[in-house]
Amino acid sequence: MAKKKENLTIIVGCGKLGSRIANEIYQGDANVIVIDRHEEAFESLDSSYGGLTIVGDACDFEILKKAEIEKANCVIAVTDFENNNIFIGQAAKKMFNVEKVIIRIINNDLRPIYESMGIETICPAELSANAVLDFYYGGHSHE
Amino acid sequence: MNKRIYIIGGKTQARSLAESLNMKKYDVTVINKDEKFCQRIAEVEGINVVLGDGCRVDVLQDADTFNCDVAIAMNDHDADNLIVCQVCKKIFGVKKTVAVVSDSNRTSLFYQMGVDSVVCTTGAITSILEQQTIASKLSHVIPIAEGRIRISEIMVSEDSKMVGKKLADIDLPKIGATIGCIIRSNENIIPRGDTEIKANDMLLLLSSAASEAEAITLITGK
Repeated sequence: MAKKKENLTIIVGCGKLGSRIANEIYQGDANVIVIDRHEEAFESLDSSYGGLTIVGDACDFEILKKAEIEKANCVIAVTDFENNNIFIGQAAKKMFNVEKVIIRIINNDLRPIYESMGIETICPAELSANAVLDFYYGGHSHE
Repeated sequence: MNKRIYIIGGKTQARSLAESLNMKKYDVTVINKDEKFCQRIAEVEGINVVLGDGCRVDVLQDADTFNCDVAIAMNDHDADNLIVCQVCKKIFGVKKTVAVVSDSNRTSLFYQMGVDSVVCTTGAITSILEQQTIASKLSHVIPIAEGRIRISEIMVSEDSKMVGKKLADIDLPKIGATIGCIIRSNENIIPRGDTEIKANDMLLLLSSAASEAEAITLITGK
């Protein structure tokens, strides 16, 4: 039986990227849970962060269930390990019916496979390259 | 043309599998990140070796994966195996993908995500060890459907409670088990309710994983 979806975002990976996103989303009044394998990672969160944190491997379905993934409407997987992000993203989409799934992918070649499943993929190298080239060709200045 | 089998990732088991398939004359390619592993395997005549991460498109391209018939992903990390299989299938069109998983809870997700065959190593080994512990007169256990159904051979000893009993008297179906066949001095008997069990019969027990122990206890009295 499907649980009712709430305004819950689960962020996997509390590195520079994950913590930045968590801080931001928490300010935006959503329920946020951050999962990381290492407790020390949570130190990157703002002192004003009042969401939940869970120490554990999010590839383990028990940990995802602990984070109440059945109720989540958004899962953001931004660990350093692309395969884990992809695995968690697919579990979120296919097993737990999470509506919005965003994952960080290192290899641009893999993006089409997962985009076709309705998973949003972010490739940092690609984004950075585009930003650099934008600047190179257009000479924009950024704030 | 012999089937081209790619073994991606893994350690001792991967090597053992590669050598075994190679001996059976399959066209084996090993893709592995570990340099020492690759060096050792390269010494085996007939096995193609590619040093690299089998999750990466460029490595699989170098390994000519478009011509792969069967891709077997044996990395330690289950997630890696899912990605290997998906890349092989969706980018390289590999017809059959096989993934090893250690966490049996992941099996159904893997099938859902398009992996053709999933082998749960933990499950398989646990099953075998369990069965070794349960009864001493048990031999040759075959798990079917990832261990959900078991076929086991049980020898009926002279002093077994079952000798002289009719199949209908032993309420196996109630616990989810049945005797599929009785092997009696070179005769194979498909038993009916009124078939009587004799000493030195070999019973082929069909049971679910859950009911197996109980069924065996019922039959052997141990």
